[in-house]
Amino acid sequence: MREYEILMIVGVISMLVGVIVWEIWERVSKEKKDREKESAYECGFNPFMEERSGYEIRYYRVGIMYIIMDVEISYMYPWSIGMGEIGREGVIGGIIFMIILGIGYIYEWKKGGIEWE
Amino acid sequence: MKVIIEGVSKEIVMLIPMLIGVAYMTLGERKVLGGMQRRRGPNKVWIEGVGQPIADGIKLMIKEGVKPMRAEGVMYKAGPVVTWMLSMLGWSVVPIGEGEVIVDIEVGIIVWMSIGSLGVYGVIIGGWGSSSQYSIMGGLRSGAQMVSYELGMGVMMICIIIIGGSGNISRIVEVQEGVWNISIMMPVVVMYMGVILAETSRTPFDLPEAEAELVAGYNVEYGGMGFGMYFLAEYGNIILMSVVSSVIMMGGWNSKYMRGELVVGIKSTIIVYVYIWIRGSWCRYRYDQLMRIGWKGVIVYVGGYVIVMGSIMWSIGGVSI
Repeated sequence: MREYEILMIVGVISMLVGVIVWEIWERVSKEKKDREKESAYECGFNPFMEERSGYEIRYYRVGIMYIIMDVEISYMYPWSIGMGEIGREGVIGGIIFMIILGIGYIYEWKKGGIEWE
Repeated sequence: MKVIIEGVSKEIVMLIPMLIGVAYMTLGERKVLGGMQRRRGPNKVWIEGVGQPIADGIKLMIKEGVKPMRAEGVMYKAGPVVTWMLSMLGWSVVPIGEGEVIVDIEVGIIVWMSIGSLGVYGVIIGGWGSSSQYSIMGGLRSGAQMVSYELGMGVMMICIIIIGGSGNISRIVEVQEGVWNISIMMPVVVMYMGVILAETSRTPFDLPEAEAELVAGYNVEYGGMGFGMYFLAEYGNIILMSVVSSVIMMGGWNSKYMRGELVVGIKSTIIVYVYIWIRGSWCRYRYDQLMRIGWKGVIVYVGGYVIVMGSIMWSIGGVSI
């Protein structure tokens, strides 16, 4: 538990250092207000459309695929630790799990879920 | 209270060398790239440009910060801070010598992976928060790239854990005393190199900063130290990735002739040099090629290698040292 407390403290301090650096920078560098300078970057002209008007469905699809696959991979970490102890049934069970995962992956592939074009 | 003092002192001991390392990696990169193109690189500031990173840092610090009008205040600020924090937090579970690690936990490699996965948040928050079409698009592309290669990395780590028999990185190094993991992982080691390049958004997979179409990607609206923090975090991630690679793949600190930390340092420096070398000699992939390599190449092959590796390790009765 002590190790995780130290991990948390390190995280908090890293965050604090980041915030402090940002705040010092904001104090040190005075911004001169200017309307054109503060407008969104758009190669010199006014933005054509709302910046959050929407984005491609492909990114969403990649996100969903990532979440599914990442959970499946996380299930395999406990299996992978003790290869010497889990015995024949354990190894075969893990391989069956991977085969089921592979069938799902092939289905997704055939349906075009991971195509980018 | 004692825990807090220990945490703070370990953090300081980790932070300052890391920042110096990052600063001089930028100089080293520019020098090496210059040498590859038969130039001299930065050589004006002090002796042969040794003062260049410090001058760059001061310049970033006093540069005027232009905050876009439409940017979301908290998210705009949170992007670089979160990226920076995760970049430093990743160092806490990685040992650089025998017993020289901030937190020595049994699931070290999994904690390191999860901190790396969180890095996507910093990029997407920053891109989304700065309310520019280019930055949002860059953030999305960067996020999609990072999560795709996160999967490949996860499957690689399953192989490493199977070989090492533990999630503890120190234990993984002990197992490599005779044979480095790089020779056991030889069929997939080129893919490993590709995955670590894509994870840190480096050439040939530096799509997030594809300047031609995205004008530098998710950090286009950041100037001064906002950009500087993204930059430091990115280079910190490269060095961290090199250290982790040298520890889990290239034998870590096992050596009969030199001090362990020195060995890890030399191996990590070689990997950093390879990073720069690849940047100097390869051109960029297209985005659909990147996705195809990630989803149809790396995950499939390395997933197959997990089955092979699991069967072999089971048949020889697990690892014993």
